[in-house]
Amino acid sequence: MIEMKIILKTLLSVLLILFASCKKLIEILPPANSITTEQTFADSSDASSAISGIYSSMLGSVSLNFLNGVLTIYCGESADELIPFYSGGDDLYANTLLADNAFMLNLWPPAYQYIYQANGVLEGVQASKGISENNKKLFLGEAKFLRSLNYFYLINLFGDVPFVNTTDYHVTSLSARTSKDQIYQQIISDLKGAQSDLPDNYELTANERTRANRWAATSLLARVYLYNHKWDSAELESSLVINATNLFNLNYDLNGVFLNNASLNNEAILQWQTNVRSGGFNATPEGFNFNPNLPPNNNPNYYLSNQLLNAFEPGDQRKVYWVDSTDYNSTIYYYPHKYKIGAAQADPTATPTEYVMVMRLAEQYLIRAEARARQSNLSGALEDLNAIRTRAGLPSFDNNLDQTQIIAAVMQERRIELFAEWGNRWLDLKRTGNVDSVMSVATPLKGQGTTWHSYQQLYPIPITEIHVDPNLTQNSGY
Amino acid sequence: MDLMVLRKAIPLRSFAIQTLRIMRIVAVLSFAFCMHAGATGYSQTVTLQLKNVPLTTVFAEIKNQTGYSFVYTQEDLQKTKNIDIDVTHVGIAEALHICFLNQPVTFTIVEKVVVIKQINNPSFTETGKGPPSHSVSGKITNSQGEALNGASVIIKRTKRGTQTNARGEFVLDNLYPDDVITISYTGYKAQSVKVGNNANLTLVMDIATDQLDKVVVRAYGTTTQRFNTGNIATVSAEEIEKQPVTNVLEALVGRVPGMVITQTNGYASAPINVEIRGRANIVGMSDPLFIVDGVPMFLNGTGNRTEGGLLQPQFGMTGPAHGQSPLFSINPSDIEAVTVLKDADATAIYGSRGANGVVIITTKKGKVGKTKWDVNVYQGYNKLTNRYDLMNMQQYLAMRREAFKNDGIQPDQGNAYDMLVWDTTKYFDLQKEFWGRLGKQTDIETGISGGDRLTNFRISGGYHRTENIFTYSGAEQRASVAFNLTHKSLNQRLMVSFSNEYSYAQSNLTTFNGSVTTAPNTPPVFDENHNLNYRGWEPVSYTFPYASLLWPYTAKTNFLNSGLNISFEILKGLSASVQFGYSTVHLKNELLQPISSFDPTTNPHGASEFGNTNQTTGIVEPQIKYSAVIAKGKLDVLVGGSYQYTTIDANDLSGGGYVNDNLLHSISNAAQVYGSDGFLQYKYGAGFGRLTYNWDDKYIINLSGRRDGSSRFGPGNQFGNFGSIGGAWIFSEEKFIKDHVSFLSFGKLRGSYGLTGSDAISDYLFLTQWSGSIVPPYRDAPAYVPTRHANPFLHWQTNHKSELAIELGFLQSRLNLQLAFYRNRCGDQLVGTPLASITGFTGVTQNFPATVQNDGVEGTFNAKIIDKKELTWNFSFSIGANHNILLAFPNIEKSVYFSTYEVGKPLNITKVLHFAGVDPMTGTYVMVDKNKDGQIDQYNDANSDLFLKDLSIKFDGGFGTDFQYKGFQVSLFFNFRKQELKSALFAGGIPGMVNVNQGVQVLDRWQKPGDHSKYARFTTNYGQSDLFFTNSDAMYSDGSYIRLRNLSVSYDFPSKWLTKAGFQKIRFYLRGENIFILTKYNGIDPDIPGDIGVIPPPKTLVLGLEFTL
Repeated sequence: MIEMKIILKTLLSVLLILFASCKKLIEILPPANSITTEQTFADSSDASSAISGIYSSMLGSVSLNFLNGVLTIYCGESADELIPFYSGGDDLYANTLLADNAFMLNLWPPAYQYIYQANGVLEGVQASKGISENNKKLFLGEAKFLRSLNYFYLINLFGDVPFVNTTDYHVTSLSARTSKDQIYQQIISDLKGAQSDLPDNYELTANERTRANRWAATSLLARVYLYNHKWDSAELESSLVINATNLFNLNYDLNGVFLNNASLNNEAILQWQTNVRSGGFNATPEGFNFNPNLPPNNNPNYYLSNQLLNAFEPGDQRKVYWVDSTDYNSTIYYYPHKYKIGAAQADPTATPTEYVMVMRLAEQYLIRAEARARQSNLSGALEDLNAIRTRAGLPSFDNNLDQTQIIAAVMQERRIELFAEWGNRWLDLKRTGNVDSVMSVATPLKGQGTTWHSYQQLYPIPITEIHVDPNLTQNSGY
Repeated sequence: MDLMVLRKAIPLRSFAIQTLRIMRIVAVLSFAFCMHAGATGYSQTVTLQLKNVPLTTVFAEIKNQTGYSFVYTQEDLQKTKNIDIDVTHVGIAEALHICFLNQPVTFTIVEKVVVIKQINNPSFTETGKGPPSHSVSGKITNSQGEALNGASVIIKRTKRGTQTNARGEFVLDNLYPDDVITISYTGYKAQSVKVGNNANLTLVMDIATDQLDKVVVRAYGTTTQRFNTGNIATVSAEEIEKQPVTNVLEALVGRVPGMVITQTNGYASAPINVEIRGRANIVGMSDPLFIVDGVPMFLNGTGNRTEGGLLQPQFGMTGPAHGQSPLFSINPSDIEAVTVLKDADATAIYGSRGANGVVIITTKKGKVGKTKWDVNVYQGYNKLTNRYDLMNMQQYLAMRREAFKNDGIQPDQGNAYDMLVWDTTKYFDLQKEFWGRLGKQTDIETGISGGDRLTNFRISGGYHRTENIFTYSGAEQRASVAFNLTHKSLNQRLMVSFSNEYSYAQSNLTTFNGSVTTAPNTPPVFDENHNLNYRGWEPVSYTFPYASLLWPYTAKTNFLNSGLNISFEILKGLSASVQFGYSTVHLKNELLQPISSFDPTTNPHGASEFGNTNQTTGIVEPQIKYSAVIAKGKLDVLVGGSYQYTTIDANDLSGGGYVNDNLLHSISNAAQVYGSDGFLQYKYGAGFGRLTYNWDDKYIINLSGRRDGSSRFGPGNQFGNFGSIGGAWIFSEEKFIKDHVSFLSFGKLRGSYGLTGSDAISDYLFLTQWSGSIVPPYRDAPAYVPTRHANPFLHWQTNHKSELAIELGFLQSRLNLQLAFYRNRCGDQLVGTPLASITGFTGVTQNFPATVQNDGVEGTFNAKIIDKKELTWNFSFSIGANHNILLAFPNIEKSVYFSTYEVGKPLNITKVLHFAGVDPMTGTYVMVDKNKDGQIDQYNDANSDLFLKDLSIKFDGGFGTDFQYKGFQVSLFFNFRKQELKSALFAGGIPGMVNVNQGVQVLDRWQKPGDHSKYARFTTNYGQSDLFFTNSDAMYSDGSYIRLRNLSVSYDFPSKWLTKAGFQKIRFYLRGENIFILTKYNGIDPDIPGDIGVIPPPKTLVLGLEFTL
C-alpha cells in the first residue's frame, strides 16, 4: 500500500498547487490601447482629450453627421428650401416619413452618444482629484455647452425626448420622455454655468474659434431664450455678443463669411475644425454635398427650391455670393454656395480654409432684432435688421414699419441670411407656428403627390428605439 | 500490485523453467524477425470457411493469408481434433481461439509467429481443486507488436484482476490452471484465454472492427461507444475523405444529429455557422468550443460572431467573404476524426467553455507497418446551383410604366432614368455576368507514414485551390504541411508525441456591392474603353455599385498548431503527463481602392487599408492518471490542470488621398494615414478531476468536476465550479437478456446531468475603457472616447444539461439504433444585450436573467444490409429535432426585449402582420386587423395586430448509403432540414420601383378594380400597405430542403494487379458536393435566405486519383 500513499500524495499536491496558483495565473495586463475612467480623469491633459473626443465624434469620419451637415440637409428637405436631385422615394422631402425610416438613425442615436460623452466628462471631472479647480470649471463648462447643443436640436426635431444626465445604463436604459420645457430649463441652467465658467476669449485654441467658450454659450443662450419667447433675456444675451466688438464684427466680404481664418472672419463665434481625415478632406460636409461634380457628372445632389430663390430681393448680394448654378442636361439648377470647396475641389494634401460654421454673429443680430421687435423696441429692431441688410447690399428699411411688419421682415431676413444653415428655416417655421400654413402650400408643390400633415413637423422617434424601450412613446401620427 | 513484489514469490524451480521458456521464446523471436523481413503485403485479418479439416490445414491457410508462421511439433498436434470454422475478416487471434476451442493445445503469438504448445498436466483440473496456487505472468500486445499499457486482465472466476504496465506486462497469482482470464483494452476486441499450466503468456489483441468497440475520442482520453456514458458522435476520416470540401465543417453537415451547420455564403473560406442542440443564448450565435490536437481554437469576441459565426480572429476588415472560418486553415485530409461532445457528461470536464458543445479535431498519426506513401489528386468544377427567375426587359418596362400610371406620376429623368436615360433595347443578364463563371477546384495531397513498435510518424503536405463562381473574384488557396511523431522509450514507460500543422492560406477576393436584381437594362459594368461605366449610370452615377469590383482584397493567413504530449508511467497504473499546445495565427489583409475605380468627375483619390492580426494561444495541461482494477471493476481517475493564455495584437492602417494607383501598396505614400489597433489578453486556469468506474462491464459511473478561472471577469467573479455525473447500464450483459433476447446483441441505457459554463465574451468588458483610437484627434490633440458600457458584475454563465439515451445493437450489431433525449437550460446568460441608444451605446454585455430551454431528441440508425467480403451495402440515417423555448424572463415587459421575445415561445420568432390578400378595389395589400379596431398597428403595443411566426429549425439531419462491390464503391449522402425562412421576395424593393427587377411571380398583380391577384398594384414607391406587406407573414416561405450533399463513386484496382505494379492501392473517383437541392424555397439557396448580394454556395464535381505505394 506504499504505492497508494504515493499516489494519493501526488494527486493531492497537484490539486493544491493548481488551486493555489489559479488566481495569479489569470491576471491579465490592461489593454494597451485604452485607459479606464479613473485614468482618463486623473489629470487635466487626459480630461482635455475626453473633451476633444466629443468634438471629434461630432465631426465624425464620414462626410455627414448629426451636428455636422445632416441638420442642414434633412431640415432643408423637410422644409421648403432644398430639393434632392434624386427625389424618388425620399420621404424626408415628400413629408411622408414613416416610423421605420433610416434617416432618423443619423439623428437620434448620435445625439445621445455625444450626450453620453458629455455626461461622462461631467461625472469624471467632478469625481477627479487630480484636476485643478480652474481646469475643472473649463471642462465642466464645455461639456455642459455641448450637451445643451445636442438637446437643443433633439427637442426641436422630436419634441419631448428622454433627458439623460448619467452614464449609468441601469438608470437610463428604460427612460421615458421628459417634457420639452423641463429640458429647456436644464439647457438654460447648463448654459448659464458654461457662460460663467468658460473663458471670454479664444486663446486656448490659438485664436481659432474651434472650441466652445463663453461667447458660444452666450449665443446659444440667446437663441434658447428667443425660442422660449423670453425676449428680454434673448436681447440681453445677444447684446453681450454683439457688443464684444473686439472679437466679433460682421464680415462684409460675403465670400469670406465661412472661412476659418479669424483675422479675416470675425463673424464666427463657433466653428468645427474640418476633419481632413474624413472622405471630404479639406471640404466641409455642406460644401462637399452641395457643390456639384465636374461636367459631365455635374448634376447637383441638392438644389434650391423656387420658393427660396424667389424670396431673394433683387440686388441681394447673398444670391450672388452664396448661391451658384450648374447646367446639367440643359437645365439650370441653383445650389447653396456658402462653402466653396466641394467634392471636385477636395484635396487631401491641402490645409482646410473653410470650417463648419456652428454659430455666427449675423444670427445674433437677427435674434436681437426679433427680441426687440417683440418688446416693441421697433427702432432698435430695425437697427439690427438693417445691419444685416446693408451687409447684403440691400436698402435699409425706414422707420414707418409697424411691429408685425418688422417681425415679418426679420423672419424673411432669417430665411435668406440663414438658408441652408443648420435647418434654421425648418426650426423657425415650427417655433413661430407658421409651419402648417407654409407647408400645406409647399408640400404639394414638391411634386411627390403628397400633402402636408401637421404631425410631420415632429420627426418620428426611430422605431428601433421604441422596440428596446417600453417606456418610450412614439410621436402621434406615426 | 507490482511486478517486482510478485517476482519474489516465484519459487526457484519455476524460475528455472521460466528461464528455459524465455530462451525458447528468444530463439523463436530471432526466427520470427527473419521471417518478418520477408513478410509483406499480407492482411491483418483472416477469412476462413473450412469444414472438418485438421489444424494443419487451417494453419496453412492462415499463413497464406497473413504471413504468420506456426511453430509446433507433430507430437503437439497428435491429440487434436478436426474443426469447422467460418469466419470473415476476423483478427488472427480470434480465428485461432476458435481453432483451439476444446483442444488439448494452446498457443501464444510472438511477433508473427504462432507457437503451439500442449496444455500440460491436464489431470490437475480433474483431480479436485486445492487452493489456487498457480501464477502466470504475461504480455499483451497488439498485432503489430506494440505493448498495450493499462489493459485489464480479469479472472473470470473471481471477477477480479489486474492490468498491464507500460510494457504490456502483467502478473496474476492464486490461479487454478483451468481459470480463464479476460483481457480487454479500449479499441480492441476483448479475448478470453485459459491459463493452463503456462507460467508465461503472450497474447495478441486484435483491433476492434465492431463499431461498438472502436476507439472514440473523449475529453482528455479515449473510450468506446460500448462503455461511453456521454453523448459523443464521431465523423471519421473515411467519411470526410469522400467529400471534396475545403472546410471540414462542410463535411459534417447532416452527419451529427443535433449539430446544425449552415454555410453563410459561397466563398470557400467563408465563415460557417455551427449550432449544437439549438440556440442557447438570447442574442447571437452559440458557437461550440473547437479543440485541435489539444489546443483550443480561439474565436474572437461575440461582436463579430453574430454576423458570420466562427470568425477568424481578425481586426478591422472582414473582407468580401465576411470573415474567414478558422477551420479554413486546416486541411480536411489531415484529419483523422472529428468528435462532437454534446451532453454534460461529455463536456463538463471542459467546464467553462463546454456550454455550447465541444468539437475535438484530431489529426492523422502514423501507424506501425511498412512505410506508405499516399498520393491523392483531384480536379473539378464549381457551378451556380440555381437561378432566380427574373423578369425580362419587356416585362420590366411594362411593370415600370404600369407603376407610373397607377401612381399618377409623370416619368422624368430623375424618377425614371431606367426608362428614359438608359438604353431599353439592351438586356443584361446580371446573374450570368456575376455568378456565371465555371469555378475550378484543384487539390493535391500527399503523405508518408509508417513506424514500428516504438516510433511512428506521418508527414503530409497538401495544396488546395478554389476559384469561385463569382466572375470577379480570384482564387482561395491553401498549402499545408502536417507532421506527427510518436515515440516510446525502450522500456515503454515514457511516451512522447508531437503533432504539428502548418498552413498558409491566401484569398484573393472582390466585394460585390451590386445586386443581381437591378434593372435588366442596367448599363454594363465597363464601357467600351474598359473603364468602369460611370457615365452609363447617369444621372445616378453616384449610386454606381460596381466600383468595388476593382478593389482587390487579399487575405493571407499563416496558421500553426502544435501539440506536444509527454507521459510517463510512474508506477503501474499511475502515470503523469503534460500536454503543451501552441497555436499562432497571423492574418494579413489588405484592401486597395484605386483611383481608377472611382468616378473620374469627382476628383477621386486612392485609398488603401492594411490589417495585421497576430493571435497566439498557449496551453499547458498537466495530468495525473490512475487506473486500477478494484473489486469487480475498473477504476480510472484523472486529475489535471489547465492553463491557457491567448493574446491578440492587431493593427489596421488606412491610407487616403493617394494620387497615383501604383503607390497604393505603400502606406507611407498616403496623404492621410489613420491607424487603429486592438489588444486582447485572455488567461484561463482550471483544475479538474474525473472518476470513472466500470463494474463488470455492465455498470459504469462517470463523475467529473472542474473549477475554472477566467480573466474575462472582474475581481470577485473570476471563478466558477462545474461538474457532471453520468452513468450507463449495459443491460445486454445481463443474464436474463442474454438468455431470452438473443437478437439483441447490445443494449445500453445511459444518462447524465451536469453543469457547464461559458465565458464566451470579449475581454476586458468589466473595465471602463476610454480610447484615443476610435476617432481621429481634434485640433491635433488626442481625442478619447469611451468605448462601451463597462459591466463589473459579469460572471460565469451556467448551463444545466441532462440527457437520457438508449443504444441498441441487433443481429451481431448489424443494425444499430441510438436515441437520445436531452434537455439543456441556459440561465444567467452572458449576452450582448441591446439597449436604447439614449444610454450612449446600443448594447451592453451582461448576465441576463432569462432562461432558455432546448430539449429534443436525436436519433441515429445504421444498418449493414449486406456484409459479405466482396459485397457490402450500408445505410445510415440521423436526425435531430430541437425544441427551443424561452422558459423564463422576469419582467420581460419592462425589458429591452419586450417586443422581440415572448415567454414560452421559441427565441427564433418574429412578429409580423398577417397578410389577408389584395384588396380587389384598390389593389393594395390588406392585413388582418387582429383586434378589430379599424386600423393596422405593426408595433408591439397595446393595439398590436402582430402575429407570432416561428422560424426555428424544426429538424435537421442526413441519410446516406454506401455500396461496395469488389473494387467499386458508390456512396450518396443527403441532408435535410425543415424550417421556414425569410423569402427572397422583394429583396431589392417592391415591384415598380426604379431600378429594381422582380421575380416573374409578381406578374400575378392587381391591374384594375375587380382584379383578384396575389400581388398588389405596381407602384414606384412604398405606401403604407406595401410596408405592412413587407412586415407580414407573406414575406416568409417554406425553406425546407433535401440536398444531395455528397456523391462519391470510386473504383479500386484489385490487389493482385497492384502487388505486381508495386502499389498498395490505386483508386479512381468521381465526387461531388451540393449536387442538387429539392426545395420550395423561392430564393437561390435556403442557406442564404433573402439576400441577393451574397454569392450562393455552388455545386462541385471533381475527378480524382488516389494511390498508395
